[in-house]
Amino acid sequence: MELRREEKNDITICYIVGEININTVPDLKVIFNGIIEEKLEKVLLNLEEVEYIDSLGLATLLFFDKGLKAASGKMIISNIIPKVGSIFKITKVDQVLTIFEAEEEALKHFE
Amino acid sequence: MEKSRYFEYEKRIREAYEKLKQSYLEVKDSYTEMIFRLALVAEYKDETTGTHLVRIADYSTEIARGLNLPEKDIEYIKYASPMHDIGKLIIPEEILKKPSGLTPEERELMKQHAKLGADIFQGSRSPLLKAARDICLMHHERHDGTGYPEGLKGDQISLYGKIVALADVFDALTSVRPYKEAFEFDDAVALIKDQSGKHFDPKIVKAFLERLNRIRDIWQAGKDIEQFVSEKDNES
Repeated sequence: MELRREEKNDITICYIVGEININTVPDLKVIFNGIIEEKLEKVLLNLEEVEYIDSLGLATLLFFDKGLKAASGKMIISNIIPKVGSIFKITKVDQVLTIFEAEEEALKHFE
Repeated sequence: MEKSRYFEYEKRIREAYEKLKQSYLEVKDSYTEMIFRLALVAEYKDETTGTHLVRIADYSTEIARGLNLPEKDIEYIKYASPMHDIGKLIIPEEILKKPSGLTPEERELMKQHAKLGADIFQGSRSPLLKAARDICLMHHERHDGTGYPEGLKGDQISLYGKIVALADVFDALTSVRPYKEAFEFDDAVALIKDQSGKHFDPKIVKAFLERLNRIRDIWQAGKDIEQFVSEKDNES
């Protein structure tokens, strides 16, 4: 798993590549905790290149969302591929997190 | 050959390869998407949760890793295990949702979901779908031969079937059902241990126990997800 970070105006976009799973979650948590400590207000996770997510991955995203909110920030997810989208859907995690199909829509929502 | 023509050929081959790779990836993606969608329909009918499907994949993958299976087999089990109850699509809803007290005839019909699921994949040449067939057919078989539908024993049961059998029972034990509370993690593990050599193949139980820390992480993640979702439900 890799995470590439870009700043666009006041929005931080994280492009995650690979699987978000039990093996990659420890690294991701460290990065997410860093973002929460930075007190970033607008974070967009672009999951276009995420091929699979397991239970630990879903839970990590949920805790990150909660952590950011507690620090007065907001997280949005975009570009989930259909295969991964079906995992969000069956677990109903798609009802808890804010998800947009495309990055542009998500960016617009932040504005 | 002229250099420019060579580069032209090389470019065309590369483009053709990229196109082929892209269509392969698309087929692979829509296939796996389909698996989760189908499995979800079966689960809706049965009124268990979708997190169950993801956990089954996670537990099964962990056990497969504990058994040092090749990476390819681990992938098959990850994507085929959520299909274990797909045969329930064909079982009448009034039987699936009956809270308790199935008649012997209804119980027999219910048991047919294993065979019905396997029939969906029967004759496929795809290794993934073959794995799905084995899992559907054999996830209610028991190591000591007291399971169904065939009463297979020991190594008559496929490795995929044995792995998902344990994952499915463990997840059922640790989940709330209309007729029972969820077992505590340690109590469920004790039950699995107790069934080594009876319900479950000892080597599967061993692989499960060797990765207990990771199994606990998956269990905890499942609980966390359900907690977040129920909080959201209560809000709205």
